Amino acid sequence: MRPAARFRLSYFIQHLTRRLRASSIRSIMTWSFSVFVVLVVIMVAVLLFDRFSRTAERSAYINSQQIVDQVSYNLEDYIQSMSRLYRAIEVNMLEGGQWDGPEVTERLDTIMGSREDIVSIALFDQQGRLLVNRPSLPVRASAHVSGQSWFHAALRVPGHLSFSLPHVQNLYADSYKWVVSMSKGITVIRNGRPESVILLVDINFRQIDELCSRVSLGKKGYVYIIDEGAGNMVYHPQQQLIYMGLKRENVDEALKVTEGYLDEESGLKRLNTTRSLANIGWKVVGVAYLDEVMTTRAEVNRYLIQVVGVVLVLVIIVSMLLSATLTRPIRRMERTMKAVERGDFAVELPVGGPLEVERLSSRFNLMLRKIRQLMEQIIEEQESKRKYELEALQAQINPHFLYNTLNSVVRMVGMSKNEDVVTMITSLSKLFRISLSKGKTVITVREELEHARHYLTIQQMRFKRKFQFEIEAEEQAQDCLTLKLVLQPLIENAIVHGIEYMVDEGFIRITARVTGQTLMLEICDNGVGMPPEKASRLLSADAPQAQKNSSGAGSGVGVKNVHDRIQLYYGAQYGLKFESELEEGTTVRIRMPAVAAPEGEADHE
Amino acid sequence: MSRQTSGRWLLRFLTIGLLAGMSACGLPQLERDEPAVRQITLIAPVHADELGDAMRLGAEAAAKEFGAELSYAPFKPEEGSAAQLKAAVEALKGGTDALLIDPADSRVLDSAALQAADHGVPVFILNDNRSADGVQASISVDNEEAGRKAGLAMAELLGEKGTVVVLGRQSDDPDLVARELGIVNALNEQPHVSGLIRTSCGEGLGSCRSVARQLLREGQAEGIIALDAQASLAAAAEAEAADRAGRMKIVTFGNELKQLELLQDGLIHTLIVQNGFSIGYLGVKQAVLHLAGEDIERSTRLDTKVINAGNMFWMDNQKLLFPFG
Repeated sequence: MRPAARFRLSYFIQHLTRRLRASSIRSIMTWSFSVFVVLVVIMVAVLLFDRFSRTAERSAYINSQQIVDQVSYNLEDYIQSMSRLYRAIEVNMLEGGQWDGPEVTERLDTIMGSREDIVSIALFDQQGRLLVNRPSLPVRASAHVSGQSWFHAALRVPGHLSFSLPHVQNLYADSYKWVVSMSKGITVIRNGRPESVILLVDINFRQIDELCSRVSLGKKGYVYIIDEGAGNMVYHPQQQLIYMGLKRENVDEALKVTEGYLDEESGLKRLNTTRSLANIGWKVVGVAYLDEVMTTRAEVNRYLIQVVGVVLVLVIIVSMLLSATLTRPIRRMERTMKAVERGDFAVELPVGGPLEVERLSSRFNLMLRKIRQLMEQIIEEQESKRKYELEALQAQINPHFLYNTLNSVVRMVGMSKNEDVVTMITSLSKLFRISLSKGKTVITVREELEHARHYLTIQQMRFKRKFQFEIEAEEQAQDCLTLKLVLQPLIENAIVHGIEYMVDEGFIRITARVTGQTLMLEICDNGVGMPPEKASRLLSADAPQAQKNSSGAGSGVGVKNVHDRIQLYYGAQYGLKFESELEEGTTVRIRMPAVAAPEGEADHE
Repeated sequence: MSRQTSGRWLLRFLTIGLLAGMSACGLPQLERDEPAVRQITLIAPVHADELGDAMRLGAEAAAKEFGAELSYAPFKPEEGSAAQLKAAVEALKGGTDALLIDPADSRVLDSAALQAADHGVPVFILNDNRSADGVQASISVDNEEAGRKAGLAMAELLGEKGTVVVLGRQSDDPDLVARELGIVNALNEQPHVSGLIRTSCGEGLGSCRSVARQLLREGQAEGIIALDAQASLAAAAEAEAADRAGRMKIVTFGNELKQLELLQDGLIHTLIVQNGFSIGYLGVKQAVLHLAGEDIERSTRLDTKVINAGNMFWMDNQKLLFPFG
C-alpha cells in the first residue's frame, strides 16, 4: 500500500471510530437498535428453524412410511392375485383327479395365456417325478426336484400354499429364469384312490422386482424385502453388493422393529421404515437417506443464516441513518453552543424538528437572549458606575468650594480672626484628608460623620453662623461602613436650598443609627422645605441636574448621584428618601445595609 | 410538533423503510442448487452377453448410488471390435464425461484411449490388465489368481493321477497369458498331476472342436482346463460325443449361459467366475470419484469365485451367475 493510501485509510478509521464512539447517543442508538433487531431476528430464525426442521423430519418419516405402505399394498395385492390364480389353476387342473386330459391342458393354456407372469405350471408326485407340466417340456435330470426348497416347503405343510424366495428356475433346458415358486402339497382322489401331488406354479420375479425398484425414496433411497422367517434377502436392488461385502443391511434390526429405525451407513444417516406383508411372511424395508430427505433442513439453515446476515447489515445501515437523523439537531445545538463558548452571542438555533428538539431549541434561544440582556445591563451599569465615581472624585476637590472657603479665610485673616482661621483651615485640611482617604470608596460612618462635621463647621463659618448643627450617632452605627461623600451633598443641599434663604437661624441635625440590618443616616433641617411633589421628583430619572453648580457653595455632586451610587452599590432597595413640607423643613433618610467595618479600620482617624 | 414537521418526519421514515424493503428484495432466494449430473458411458464387452449384463447392473447400481447418469452401449453377438470402437467414438462425440470400456483387443483400447485424450475424457478399463495413455484406472480380476484356482480345482477333481491339457486360443492377450501362468504354477505344485499339455485351438468353435476331438481320441488327458468360453464349449461337446461326458474333467472360466447349463448337467465340472457386477459397480464408482477430483487407485484387482454344480444354485451364487435386472 502506498503511504498516502495508508494514511488515508488510517485517517478514515480514526474518523469512523471517533464518530461511533461508544458513549455518543448516536452509537448507543445504532448499536442498541441493531442488537435488538438482530436478537429478535435470530430468535425468530431459531424458532422457525426448529419448528420447520421438526415438521420436515416428521413429514420425511410419514412420507417414507407412506411409500413403504404403498409398496406393501401393491405387493400384497399382487401376491393375493397370484394366490387366486394358483387357486384357479388348482381347481381347473385337479378337479376330479384328472390332470392329463386335453380339456385340462386347454384350460391351463388359457390361464397361462391370460397371465404373462406365469413361467410354468408343473405337477409332481411325492418323489419329485413329473406328472404333467405346461408348457410341456422335459425336466432336466440334473434339476434334483426333490432337493429344491419349494418341494420341501410343500411337503412340510400339506394344503398350505407357500411362496419361495426368488431363485433361478433350473428345471428346463435353455432357460434360467428368475422366479418365485408357489407350491402346495395337495391330496387328490384319482381313480378312487387318494394321491398326494405337489402343484408348482413359477411366476416371473420381474413383476415384484419392478414393484420394488420403481419406488423413489429420494435419489439414493430404495426398498428391500427380507424373509421374516430366516432374515434372508428376498429382494435388494444392490443384492450383489451385499454378497460381495461392499454393502450391509442391518437385517436383525429390521426383523425386530415394527415401525422404523435410524441407522448409519458409511457416515450417512438413514431412515429405515418397515412393514410386514400379510400371508407371505416377508417384510418390506424402505431406506431413505436423511441427507436427502432433510436437505430442506440444511437449506433452510443456510437461508436463515444468509437472511440474518443481510438483516444485520441492513439494520446497521438503517439504524445509523436513523440515529444520524435523530441526533442531527443535537449536534447542531452543540455547534451553536461552541460558537457561544467562543463568544459569539449573536447566533440563534433554528426552531424545528421533533417536539423535544423544538422545545430545547427555543429554550436555548430564550436563555441566550437573557444572557445577552444581562450582559447589556452589566455594561450599562459599569458605565454609569464609572461616571458617578468620576463625578464623586471631582467632588473631592471642588475648586469652587475651595475658592469660597479660602476667600472666607482671607476675609477672616483681614479681620484678624485668627482663631477662626485656624479652625477653618484645620477643618478644611481634615475635610480633604477624609475626602481622599487613600482613594477608598467605602469608609466608616465615623469618618463620614467626621467629614460632615468639618464641612458643616466650614459652612457655618462661611454663612456667619446662620445655622446650628448637631450630629448624633449610635456607637454601633459609627462602626458601620458607608459609601464615601454621601452626607456632604445632602448637607450642601440643605444649606443651599433650605437654610440660606431663611430669616431665622437654621438647624441641621444629622443622626446615624442601625435598625436591624439597616444603617439609617438622617439629615434633618428646618429650612424652607419644598412641596412633596418636588421632593418626590428629585430622585426620578429626569431630575434636574441643573442644580449642579447652581451655587458656588455646592460640591457639584447632585443628590441623584448619591442615590444612584447607593443603589448601584447595595441594590435597588436602598437609597435616599425625602420628606419635606413647605416652611417646615426637609428630612433626607439614607438607607444602607449595616455592614460592620473590619477590626482595625474603625479607629481610622 | 407542527403538522408540517410531523409530515416531514413521516416521509423520512417511509424513505428509510422503502430503502430497507428494496434491499430485502436482494435477499438470497430459497433455491436448490443441483450439482451437474455426470454422464458416464459404459461400452460393453463383445461376445459376452452375461458378463455385459452383469457389468451393466453393477454400473447402474453405482450410478444410482453416486448420482451419475449411465449410458450403456451393448453389442449383438455377431458384432466385434470394430463396432466397439465405433460406439466408443460416438460416446466421446456425444459429450460423455467418462468412458468405461472392456476392450476387445489392444487396437480398440489404444485407439479409444487416444481419441478420449483428444476430448479430455478420462478412460477406465474394465476387465483388462492392459493399459494405454489416457487411461485413468483399470478394474479387472486377478487372472493369475483365477488360473491358480482353476489349476487347484482341476487337481482336486483328478484325485489320484492324471494329465491335464490347457486348451485355448493362441493369443497375446495378457489376461489369457496370466491365467495360463496361474494354472501352470498351481499344477506344478501338485505332484499327482503328471503331465501338463498346452494345446492351441485356433480361431472359431469348429477348429477348437477338432483340436478337442483329437485330444480325446488320443486319450492322453484326464482333464481339460479351457482358457475361454469357446474352448470350454468345444471340449464339453467333444467329451459328450466321445461318450466321456462327466468323466472327462473340464474346468473353465466364465459364466455364459451355455457353460452354466453344461455345469448343471455335469459336463463341465468347475467354473471360475468373475464378478461382472462388481467390475461395473467399481468402474462407475471410480469414474465418479475421479470426476469429483478425488484420488483413485490406478489398478483394482478383484477376486474370482469357484463354482461347481453343487453350489451354483446357492442364493449368493445365483445372483452372481444369473444377473437379473
